[in-house]
Amino acid sequence: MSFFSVKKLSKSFGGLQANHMIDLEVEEGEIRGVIGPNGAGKTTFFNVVSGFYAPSSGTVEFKGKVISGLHSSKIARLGVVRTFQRAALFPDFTVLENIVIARHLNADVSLLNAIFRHNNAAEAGNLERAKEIIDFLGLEHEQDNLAANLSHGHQRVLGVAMALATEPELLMLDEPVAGMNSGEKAVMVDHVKKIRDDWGITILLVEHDMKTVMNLCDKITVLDFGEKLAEGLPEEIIHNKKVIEAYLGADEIVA
Amino acid sequence: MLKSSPKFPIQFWLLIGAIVVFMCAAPQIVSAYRLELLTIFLINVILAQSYRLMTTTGDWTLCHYILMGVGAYATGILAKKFGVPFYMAMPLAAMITVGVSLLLAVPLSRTIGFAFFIASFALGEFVRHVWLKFHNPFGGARGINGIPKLEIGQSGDWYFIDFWDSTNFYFFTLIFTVLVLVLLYRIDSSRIGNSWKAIYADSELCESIGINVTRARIMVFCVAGFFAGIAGSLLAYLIGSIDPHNFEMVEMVYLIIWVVVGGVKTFWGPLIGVVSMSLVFELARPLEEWRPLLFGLILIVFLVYLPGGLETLIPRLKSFFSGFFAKKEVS
Repeated sequence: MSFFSVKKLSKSFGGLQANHMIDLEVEEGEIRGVIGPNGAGKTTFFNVVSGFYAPSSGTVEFKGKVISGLHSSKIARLGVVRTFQRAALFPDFTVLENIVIARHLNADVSLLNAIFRHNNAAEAGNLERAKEIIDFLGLEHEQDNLAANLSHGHQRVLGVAMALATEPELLMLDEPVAGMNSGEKAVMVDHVKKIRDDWGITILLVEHDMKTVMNLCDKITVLDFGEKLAEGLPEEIIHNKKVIEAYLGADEIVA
Repeated sequence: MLKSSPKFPIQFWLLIGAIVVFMCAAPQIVSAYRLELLTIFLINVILAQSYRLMTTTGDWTLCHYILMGVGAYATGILAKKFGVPFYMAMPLAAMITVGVSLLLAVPLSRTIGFAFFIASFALGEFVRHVWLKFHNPFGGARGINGIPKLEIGQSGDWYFIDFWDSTNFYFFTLIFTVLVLVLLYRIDSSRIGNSWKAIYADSELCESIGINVTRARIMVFCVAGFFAGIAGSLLAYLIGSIDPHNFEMVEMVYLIIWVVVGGVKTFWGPLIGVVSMSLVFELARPLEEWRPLLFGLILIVFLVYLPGGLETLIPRLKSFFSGFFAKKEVS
């Protein structure tokens, strides 16, 4: 039984085959990158695995349990949590409040508790954990700012912080460095490494930025036209002929 | 959770104190007719405030007034046909409203935005037509008349209170209103209240952090329905007779006007809306059939010039004047 496995996953929208028979296995503690040119089906793959779309066929298994077809909130409850390509956050709440809200799965959310507030201990624990995550990701100075007022880089880090707040076992990052400058990219790469190294969370990421993927990932899966093109260590992928053909301007990806 | 204990300034408590004093002294000050208007006003406060809870997830319904009607009809039938005393009839009516809310919310939760808005209107009208078409038990177009009056004990008992007396009923409603406001405030500022606001901000993000958005939206609908049911129950006891014409679309439009004029972002917006629009409503009595025109005008003016409602007026004025003075300093 592997930690996380995707078996013969297909997804089509009408006549368009966005994903076709994709197989993927991720070991516990691994950082796995999924790359591919524009339109390769990365985002669809990501959305199917995280439960935002139901697959047309095939299964996704997490720790021996089939999670494909489940409601996305249920998948999050089982320990597979995703982030978004865009800066997804609750703009009218502060950074700290955003993360506390993201502790939904670890909180007493009954109406009775809302009225009588009898379960204060759990809530205090949530606040403490939220502050821990803020320290871990270096957001201390932004803690009391409204999420809407953060810079793009910080907003994306907040997205990761909120995903961490759910205590995932597999963290799925959707283009974690999209739209960032080089300084912000370096910070995000550090964060992702730290999340795996210090907290032992397995990571599956989809990314456009080659340099980031090569730096970060233990193993890389390449998609093209909705199918798996290649899989292997970063060095192997760089020199893989099929991958270089798929990416026109192959010189760039090595740089 | 975090927003649970905001620091209220002293002015806030002074204002609350003044309102409490006025509300308690009202029966001595105003005429019996005005007192009944004030009682209806309190019921409207409950209704508007429960509607505001509904809107926190971003679901603006067009059937909230119908939910109030469900509470009123349930009370009428329970009290008249089954002779259930009020202390049983009111909670039962509220629970029946929750049940009906659940029936409406399950299909409605499959729609969002404009589709939700229209579908809620259709389902609401469906419920209203059930009242119209079924003489038993709803009484058809004539509705239910002669709902037994509210009383505690029987005449002669030392603890006998007759709520036919408008002052007594006024205080009865006042107590309920305060209770409902406290409950709604607690819910609104709690974790679950914040998670509902989070759904409005970004429902996909909510799903990703484990909030079951569909279930949450159904739950909000039912909780809001519960309080609307209480408002309806009070209304049934106050006017003693109900018919489908009490719950026509125009009443829903008034409800929306209150909430739009007041704003929904803070807890206090709908309160401000109900107070100001009730005043306008009474002051505009001489206009007679022109009154709806005035209200339409007010709605448009607010949507165009003050879309956040009256609750945003003070912050807006502040920023306007600070900007004004800052410019002057430069020149």
